[in-house]
Amino acid sequence: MRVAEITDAGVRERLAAKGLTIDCGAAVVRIQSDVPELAAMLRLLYGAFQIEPDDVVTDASVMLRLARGSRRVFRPQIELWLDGNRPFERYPRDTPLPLVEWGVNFALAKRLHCYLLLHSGVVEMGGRAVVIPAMPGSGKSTLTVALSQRGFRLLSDEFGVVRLSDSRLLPLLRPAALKNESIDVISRFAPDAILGPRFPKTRKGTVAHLALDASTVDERHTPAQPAVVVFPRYDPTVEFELDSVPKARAFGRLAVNSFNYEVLGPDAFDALGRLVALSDCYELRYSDLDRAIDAITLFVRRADSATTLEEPAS
Amino acid sequence: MHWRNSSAGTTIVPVGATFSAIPGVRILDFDSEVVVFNPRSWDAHILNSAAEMVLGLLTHSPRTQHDIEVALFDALAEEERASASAHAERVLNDLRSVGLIVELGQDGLASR
Amino acid sequence: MASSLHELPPHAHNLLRVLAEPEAVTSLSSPEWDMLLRSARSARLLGVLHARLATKAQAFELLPAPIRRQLVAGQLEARYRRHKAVFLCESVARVLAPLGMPLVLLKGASYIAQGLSLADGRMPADVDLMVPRQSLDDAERLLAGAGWQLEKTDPYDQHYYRAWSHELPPMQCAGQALELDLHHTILPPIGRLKPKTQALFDASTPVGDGKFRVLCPADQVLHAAAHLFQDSDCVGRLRDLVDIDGLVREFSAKDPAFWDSLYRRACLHQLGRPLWYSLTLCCRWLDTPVPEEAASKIFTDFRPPALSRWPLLGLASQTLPPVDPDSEPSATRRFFATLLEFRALWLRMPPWTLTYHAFRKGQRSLVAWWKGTRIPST
Repeated sequence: MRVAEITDAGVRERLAAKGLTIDCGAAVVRIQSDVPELAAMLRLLYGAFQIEPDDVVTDASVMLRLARGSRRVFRPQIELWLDGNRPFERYPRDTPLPLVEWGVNFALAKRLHCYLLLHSGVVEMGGRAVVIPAMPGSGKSTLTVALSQRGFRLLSDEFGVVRLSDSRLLPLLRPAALKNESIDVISRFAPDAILGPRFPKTRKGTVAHLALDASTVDERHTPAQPAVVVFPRYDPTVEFELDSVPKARAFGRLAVNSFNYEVLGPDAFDALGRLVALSDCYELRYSDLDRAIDAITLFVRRADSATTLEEPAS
Repeated sequence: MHWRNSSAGTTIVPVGATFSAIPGVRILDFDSEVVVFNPRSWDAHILNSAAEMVLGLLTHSPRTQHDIEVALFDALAEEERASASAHAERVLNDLRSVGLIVELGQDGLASR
Repeated sequence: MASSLHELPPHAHNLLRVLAEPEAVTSLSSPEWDMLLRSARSARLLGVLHARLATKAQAFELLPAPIRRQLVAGQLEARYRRHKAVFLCESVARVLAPLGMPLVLLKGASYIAQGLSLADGRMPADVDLMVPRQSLDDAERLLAGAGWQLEKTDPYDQHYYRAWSHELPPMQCAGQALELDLHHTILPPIGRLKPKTQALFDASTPVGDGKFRVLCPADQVLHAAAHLFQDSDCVGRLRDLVDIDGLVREFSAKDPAFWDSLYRRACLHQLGRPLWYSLTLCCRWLDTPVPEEAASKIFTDFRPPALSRWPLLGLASQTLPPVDPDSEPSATRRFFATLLEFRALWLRMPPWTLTYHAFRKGQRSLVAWWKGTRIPST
């Protein structure tokens, strides 16, 4: 049963009891909460996700609670609990969804060492993955989400989940987070996309989330072969500039922009090396989203699907 | 693009400033540049072609500084050959500073 | 909820049972597995849990993927920390070699250096190194020259560490993932218990290629016990008890004279009481095997008075295990943790020093509250 098939009240009841358990693909997440208004938000943004049974093993279980005491009445606040610990300060009650999303991301980024986690968006077309590393000011989220509205399947807007054994990219599906101008850009670019409520004045500015559709969610266990890495830079003064990035440099840039490259040591080196070897790497400076998407579509089609890796010499 | 693993050097070598790559170095060849895994620090390094060549030699067997100079001399363009010695010293120092190679003592064991 | 102080809540009970008896996992349901993994992670024992289960190789492969991947994640984090600890030790050995003084590894780094199986899956946060007090300044100077910097720079903190503590403030270095704690003894010199520091050095033995030394087996156990019950507030420190259980099992298996040595050294260092607490809880929770003759001496001769032991055992029982993953820490647990924090301070300093320390901390907290900043605690 999908989340959208039960009512807001039904979601609220689950949150207050055993929780809402969601299979995001590479990880299973459970959310519990006594904040009533969170239910409708989750139902909207996780609507296409299946509700997992209560008794499955989770990778991250978070609890969003109303703060106790005076904080219930005067400037009410909420707190995020993760396995008996509170990793963040309290937040105003009017930002329940961002806090839950940050809490889950925080937990996953620290724990999923069974995979190499790049800080990047990932989309795919025809089984070929496009990895879009997140640099400040890159517009990574806007580009990733825009691609997902133009024929690409979204695997993640935040975590490039690389399987250590074969460097395939795995979906880690979460409502895609958009900030500030990006929200308006995507609203115009994809008027039919389901966007959740806007949360102004968060630490990251105004934040809103994009719901994923059923076809994306149903493919949450379908990996993609590495094929393209695009380092984007949104620049309103540049119409379109494209450069090839030497693979050794791409390796370095991906490694420093990773959540756990350092922790995984030799396994990270091998997995990332294989991923880069299999990928065409580009740097793209753009102001026109459509043109960037056309270029990336071309890269994917051009990607050599017959690329194989020689076995290591022993 | 291909992979190479180094083998641990165990031969005893004659006197002189002799160097060897540490065991377990992994080398990713990306045509113009290589990325190298340092098993001691877990760091990854990008090497230029000169450093790549020197490291490649030292992963196969220990070599003296003179050997390295000769190899670089052959690889350098004519106008650069005069500085092969300085080049060799620089490359060896760089590789040693990041811990990819060690200098061997008279007993053939790493002195550092 | 526990009906008495000495009973453990289910999540803690299952964690301890599985650590003592890894085969018990075959009887766990999915929700119990979920709790076990979350509790183990919270207790920083996920890697140890993996190590214990992985030795039963066949059973491990049969575990469902969502369970295996979390255990593997624990294993990989432990591998990373172990690697970084070794890397730090190699670097520090080179830096301090010119001094020609004994470098004694303590705790996690020493377990790794000795190749003890209890080191498998551990997640060291730092490396503890003990040097003779007269060499401390030179050691600090050499380390500073190699890029190591002391963490806390507040003048009061500096004074606290140098005058009263058994260790310098933690040291950090670019390119090193772990911190280095430089000790000159194992407990604060102004504290109530005063182990014989020279005897620690005298009984230490070289390890590996000889660049480092480790305490003798009995002293290692006593240090772990003292660290837990004299120098800490016990909160969430179940892993220290797991270490003590592991040390005792490995050392007693290698040396039949270990128990006798443990008793004698506990008398020498006057650390019988922390040993009593540690072994009592180890036996109760982890089935640590203690031979009858040793048990009768240790548990009798070192037994604290009832007025101390009942409260401390009760408090420790409530605070050592990780919190229930599904709740916030109860008011009771927070209160007990505060009591144990006071106890640790009381044991660490004579009354006048404690008063001064409390005053300075209070003063600093007030200033920080006024300025609206947050401060780390000492």
